Amino acid sequence: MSENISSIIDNELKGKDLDHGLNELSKHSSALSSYRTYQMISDVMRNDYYDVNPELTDKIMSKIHDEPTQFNNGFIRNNQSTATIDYRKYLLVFALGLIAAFAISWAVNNFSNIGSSSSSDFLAADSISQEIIEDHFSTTTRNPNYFLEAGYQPNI
Amino acid sequence: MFRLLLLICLFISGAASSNELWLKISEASKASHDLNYSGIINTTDSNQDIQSTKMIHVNHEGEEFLKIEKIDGADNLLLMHEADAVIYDNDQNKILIKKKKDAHLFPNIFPSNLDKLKDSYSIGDGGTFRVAGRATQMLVLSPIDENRYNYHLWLDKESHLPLKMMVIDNNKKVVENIAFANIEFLKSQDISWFRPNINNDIAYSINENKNIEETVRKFWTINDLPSGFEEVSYSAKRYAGLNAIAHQIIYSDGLSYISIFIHPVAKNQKPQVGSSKRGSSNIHAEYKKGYQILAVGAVPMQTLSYITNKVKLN
Repeated sequence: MSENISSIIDNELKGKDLDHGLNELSKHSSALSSYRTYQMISDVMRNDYYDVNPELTDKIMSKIHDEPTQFNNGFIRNNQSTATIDYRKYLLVFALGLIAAFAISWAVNNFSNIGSSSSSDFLAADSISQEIIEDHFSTTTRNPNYFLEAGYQPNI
Repeated sequence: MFRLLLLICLFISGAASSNELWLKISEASKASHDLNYSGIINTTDSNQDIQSTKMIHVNHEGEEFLKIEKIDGADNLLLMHEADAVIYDNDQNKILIKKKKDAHLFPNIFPSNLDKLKDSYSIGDGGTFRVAGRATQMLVLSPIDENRYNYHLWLDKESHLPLKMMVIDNNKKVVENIAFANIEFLKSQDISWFRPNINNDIAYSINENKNIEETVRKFWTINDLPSGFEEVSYSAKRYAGLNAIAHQIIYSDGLSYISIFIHPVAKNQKPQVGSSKRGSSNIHAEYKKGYQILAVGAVPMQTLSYITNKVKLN
């Protein structure tokens, strides 16, 4: 069996041989534990290691599985009970969400293009022609300070 | 029956009160042209930046003479005789002389046709306040719709001259604040001060306003303007930065001003759309048929957006 494990770790088995090897491995818990240990050593050598004790993995996964699952809507599913969930309800919510997302995307694309060129820039305060701003203030302002500042228009 | 009579009496007294307040506006307008006065004017913009200018106004034998000097920043000077204004712009090592016309500078802020204001604003008495060491009456000009802002005016009780003005937007935020910090009423009509202080060490050059005088075919129409607004001015000139001729049409309701600029967009430039803000003015831009439409004014953004939408290019 250890030979089989080495072959799997070293990627020597392909196709049906790999399927057969993995099937055999799953039938022997001690072999599975050895596989995980070998895999961890291999991961450490490749600097791809996360601190997981193979002995603990099954216990932790078992505890997690037994924990009740809390959904956003407050519904609690007891994983140890025989309670059943109507997944069609969530499918419907998912479908409605998709429709809403498409509708919002369509509206944003269409309304933002009204009356504008497809290659327009959004107006920024700094990008407005200074000559235009000065001409507006110098012809309409009541503020003597603005009027004096707007008096100079270079290069006209 | 008694209640009906009471209501009629209240209506008549209210109308008379409103007429009296409008009469005060008329007196304020006349005072700003006729009286001789000098003082310091402080202006505060929406960023709370305060700038000060020193001014003197004299009505000499029926002709108005005005001199305004900047106290803060560049040493700029304005001399204005009737509608003709000359600005001496001190650009460090040279003085640029620029001619302008028809400025409505504080405290001379009112239109020639005061009745026009009644179409766009209602008037109310805001009470008595002290401004620049003098007793004033505050008048509130409230817009009849949401296309313009509120104007608060503090009129000198003795002379009726406006001593302070605040423009307040529809969110009760002050967008413009102009006030005399001090004022002196002059008895003399002397105008010996009406000349620039020539500095022989600095070069002077004339920066002429090169408006295009020829008749321009107006290739646009702007119909259904917001209530009260009408065209008061039009000009066209070449803007070096845009490398194009831009047309400026100014609309006003008597107090609020909106400039509409229309110019072609060069091939190497991108048109702009959307809204922005510069100082006390909002700005809204749209792009139509190869032309940039730009509306600028101290009015609500929706007013600018409405007008740019109404611009039709033929």
